Amino acid sequence: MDELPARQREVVILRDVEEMSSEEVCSVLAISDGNQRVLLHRGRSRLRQLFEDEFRGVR
Amino acid sequence: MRLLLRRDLACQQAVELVTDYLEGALSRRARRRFETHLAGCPHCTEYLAQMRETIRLTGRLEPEDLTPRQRDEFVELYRRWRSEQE
Repeated sequence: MDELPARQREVVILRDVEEMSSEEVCSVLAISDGNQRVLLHRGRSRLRQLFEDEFRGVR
Repeated sequence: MRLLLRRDLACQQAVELVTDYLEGALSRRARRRFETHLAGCPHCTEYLAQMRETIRLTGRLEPEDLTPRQRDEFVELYRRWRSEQE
């Protein structure tokens, strides 16, 4: 999680760990729906890459 | 304009649409195009599966997996949000 910029980390944790809805996350962070989705996409994509690297023993 | 009229999606475009797809944020037409691409592309099908797995693994994180500074960040977020609700 350290690898993510703060905003991406916040969105990913609120959505995928706290299991908040996108509407709730937009309200908590005061961001638009589109922005929320972009941050979620970037954060999840980065984590996917990190998991893949870890499984392949790259890191 | 030519790109918009193309019926097939390039893998790079498909990968960029994965979150919108999972969020149900694609138009019906874009969704159909995405699914058509997946049906013919094992790589993007695998990518989507990895993305779902990533979400599942992230969901198993515990507060202890965050640094104290990151935990403070969330306490602060909640505090600010709740004070705005009142």
